This record gives sequence, C-alpha cells and structure tokens, in this order.
Amino acid sequence: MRGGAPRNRRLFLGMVITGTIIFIAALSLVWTPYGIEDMSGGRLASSSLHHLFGTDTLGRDQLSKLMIGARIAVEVGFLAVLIGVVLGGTLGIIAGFAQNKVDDALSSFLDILIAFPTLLLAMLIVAARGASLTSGILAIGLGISSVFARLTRLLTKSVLSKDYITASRISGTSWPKIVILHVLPNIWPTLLVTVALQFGIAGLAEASLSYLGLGAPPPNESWGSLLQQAQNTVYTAPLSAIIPGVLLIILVVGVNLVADGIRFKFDPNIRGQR
Amino acid sequence: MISHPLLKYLARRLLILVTSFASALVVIYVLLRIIPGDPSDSLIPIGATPTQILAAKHAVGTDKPLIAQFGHWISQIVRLRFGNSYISGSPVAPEIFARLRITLPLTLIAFVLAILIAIPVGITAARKGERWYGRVLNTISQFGIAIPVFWVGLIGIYAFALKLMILPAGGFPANGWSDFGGALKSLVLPVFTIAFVMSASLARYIRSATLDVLNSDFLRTSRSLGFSFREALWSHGVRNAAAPVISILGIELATTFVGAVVVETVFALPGLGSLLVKAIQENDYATVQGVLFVSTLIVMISGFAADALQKWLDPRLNRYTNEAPV
Repeated sequence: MRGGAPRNRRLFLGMVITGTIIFIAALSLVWTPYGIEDMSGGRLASSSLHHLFGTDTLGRDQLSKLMIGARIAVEVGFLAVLIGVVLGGTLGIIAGFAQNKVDDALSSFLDILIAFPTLLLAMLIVAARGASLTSGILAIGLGISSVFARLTRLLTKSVLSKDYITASRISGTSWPKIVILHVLPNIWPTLLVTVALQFGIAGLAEASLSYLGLGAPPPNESWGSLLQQAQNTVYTAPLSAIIPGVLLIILVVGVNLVADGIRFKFDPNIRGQR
Repeated sequence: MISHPLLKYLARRLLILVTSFASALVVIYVLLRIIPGDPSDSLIPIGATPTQILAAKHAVGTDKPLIAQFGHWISQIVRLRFGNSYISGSPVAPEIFARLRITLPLTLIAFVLAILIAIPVGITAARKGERWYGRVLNTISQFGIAIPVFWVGLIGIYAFALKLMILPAGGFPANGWSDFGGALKSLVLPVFTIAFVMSASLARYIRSATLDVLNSDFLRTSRSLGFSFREALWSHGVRNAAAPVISILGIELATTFVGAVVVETVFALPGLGSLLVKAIQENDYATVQGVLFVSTLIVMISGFAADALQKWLDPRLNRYTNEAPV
C-alpha cells in the first residue's frame, strides 16, 4: 500500500462529507434561515450573526441560497446517475451478451458516445428543450450513461467468459436468470464506484450549465448560478464567489473519497492508483 | 487490397468516424428542428397573417416535406453553409470562422501547456510517491478534477485582474489579432485557467501509466540484461507509457475544447463558446446547429487522430478496450 490514510478511513470521511451535504439538502426542503425571495438584509451585507454568509445584491440571505444550491446539486446528482445506470447499464448488459457484428456495432457506438463531451450534449438538449432543471438532469443523465454502458459491457463480458457461466448455460439457465444470478452480483461493486464518481461529475456539469445561464431558472438556483451572480460583485463581496465553489469541490471530493473507499473495501489488492 | 494492419485499422476507424458524424448530424437535426417548433417562428411577427406565416416558412424552407428539408440541410451544411442567424439575419458560417480564431488558439495553447505541466507532475507523483513532494503533487491532482473550471477563472480574475491588476479581467481587443500583444495578454488568464484544471486530470493518467511501466516485467528484464534504468526507460518505458496516455489525450483535447467554451463566458471572450451560449439563450437554432456541427467535427477528428496515433505506437492494442494486453 502506498502512503496516505487507510482507505476505510477514506470511506468514513467521504460518507461524513457526502452525508452532511445530503442532510443540508434535505433540511432545505423544510427549513432555510430566510425565505428564498425574502429581502431581509442590506445590499451585499457582509457576514453577520443574522446572515452567516452575508446577503446578495437584493439583500437575500446567502446561506439560504447555498442550502437550496445543495439540494439542486444532490437532486441532479441522484437523478442523473439513476438515468445513467438504468439506461447505460441495460445497454451495457445487452452489448455484453451480443456477439460478433452486433457487438462490433454496439461497442463502436459506445466508443463514440463516450468521446462526446457531456457538456456539449447537455447544451444540445438544453437548446432543444429550453433551460430547466429537468433538461439539465436529462442531458447529464444521457451524457454519463455512455460511461456506464461501456463499463457494464466490459464487466459483463468478463463475467460471461467464466467457466461457471458455461456450466450454468449447459444446465439450461435462461439469459435473464444468468443476468440476475451471476452478472449483477458480480458487477455491482465496480458499478457502485462509478456511481459515486459520476455523481460528482454530474454535480460539476450542472454547475457549469447553470453558470452559463443554461441551468435551472430561479428560484431553484444552483451553486453554478450563484457563482455567475457573484462574478459581477467579486471585488466587493469575494466571499460569495468563493463559498459556492468551495462547496462544490467539497461535494466532489467527498463522493470521490466514497468511491475510493468502496473500491478498497471490495478489492484490497488494488495499487494506490486509478 | 489493404493489407497493412495499421491501414486496415485506419480504414475501419475512418468508417466509424464518418458513420458517427452522420448519426450526430441526424441527432442534431432531429433535436433542433423537430422538437422546438418551427424555425420560422422567430421570423413571424405577433398577429401575422397566414400569408406572412407561409412566407416565413418558405424563407426557412419548412414548407417542404421533412425528408426534403433534411436532405437540403445536409447538402448545405457539408458545404459549410449554415444559413443565416435567426436573430441578426447575417450568415452563420463567417461568424463561426471568425470566432474560431479565438477558440482554437485558446484550446490548443491551453492543451499544450496542460501537457507540459502534467508530464513532469505525473511522472514525479509516480516515481517519488513516497516523498512529501510526490504526495503533495498527487493530492493536488486528486483535487484538481474536483474543481470547476469556471470557478478557477473567477478566482483568477479576482486575484490577478482585480487585486494585483496585472492582467485584464476579460474581453478581447476590438481589432482582434492585429493587436497581437493585447490579444495575447487577454488570453493569459483563460489559458492558465484551462491548463490548470486539465493538467490535474492528465497528471493522474500519466502517473498511472508511469506506475504501470515502473512495475512492468519488461523493464525489470531490461534492467537484468544490464541496461541502466535510464536506458531501459527510454528504449521500452516511454513508448509503453505513451500509448494509453495518447488515447486519453484525444478525449482530453475534446474536454479542453469544451472547457474553452465555458471559460470564454467567464472572460467575455468573443469565441465559439460564448456564441453557442448566446445562441441557445436566444433560440437561434441556425447558429446553434452551425456551432454544434463544427464542435462535433473537432471533437470527433481529435478522437480519430488520437486513436490512430495510439494504434501506431502500440499495435497490440485491443480494439475494444483500447488497453494494451496485460
């Protein structure tokens, strides 16, 4: 093992970070310090007991907006990854079972899809459907499904090449049963690692979309749109430009730690590398 | 008949390139032409007469059957005729090429800089992983992939433009590249912003490829035959480590290009990215299609080039996994 903290400590730390953000996101559903349209403070007030992270140009509480931002990040992360796993996983398993020409065609298709940047695809979908939270989730989910599809295909192929599968086939087990009995139980730990990693990537992609003004419109503002608003006032209120970015980094690092931890838990022999 | 395996591979890969580009065009067309209503909508004034509506439809060609429209569109677009902007009415193609003069230099300079940073960082992180500086580099590159590129730009503006006041906060000289010094100066922050983020993820791949080579049997064998570490590394290591990294470079170049799209908005650079963002916001589908056509072409060609280069460096490659056999 290379240097650094033991991996199970990473899993713990990652769970704490991710858990805290998910908790804050859930909390924002029932409680925020101020209403989201509530112009309770002075314009660009600095941090105080009333407004922990100050206020924006209209005097709205930054902490409340950051909490809503956490909710958007978590929501997009969960739903986009769900789309990715279901769509990509299904496609990947089908491609895993496919032979010769069909397999050729499917894997070439996946190679192309994976090389196509998620953000560009997302912008295409936003252009077609209009900017909304749903567009963003759909676009990012489609984009990352190629990652899941390619991975699932490789994993499925490696499971299917095992002798016990041949034995199972000979004894007459049907394809769906092989998927449920052998393929899924063998591939889910690796998939789980990718789920965690892609959760972070989905969060970053949504922030980019929102920053560009192509994400969820107000009042569902993500950390990306907070950063866009903060850019105009970065000189007078640098804190409001720093905090959403730092939160985003913490979220991504948190889920990456979880991914690392899961990987180590299921495969203690891996070297300290990606 | 094609016999050389590399040529055979290239022919096959070229076929994939053409097919995938064609399918991308269909997707762009279907998403942008069929879903969001009629493209003539933005030409029709409120309370227009049926004659005006027909005239508008005729002007953009939507009075013809769908297949004919698609055929017409393809025949135009492959000749780089993207039509006129729905908003300004001026042709889209010259606008795109003018803006590429900013986006392409930005992407390429940032990409080269990212590689130049990532190679020493990645190799040091792999070779000196036990030392403190190896660990620091490693940690930074782990963090790097978590940092949103536009945020780095924002912090860069705050630090270098607003506080230190040594670089412009954004914009591009009005007379473009004729003001060469000014143009370069306005690209410094955007270039470093992209290069910083890109080099982090690149360094991780380079580190991992270096570790694979350092732990490899062929390097040990070479050493046991009496070659020095340096000789062994040069004659066997570099080529073996380069192949997987180069396949990643194709994807990373595409990512850099997309990064440029975002960063242009941060720094208010009049490039392809800010054009795309503005066009999406204004529902200017002709411009969106044109930009996406050019972007897709760039992304796919860089993927093709990387795959070809990688295959040439490492002919053993499995064509499915793009990974060398273990």
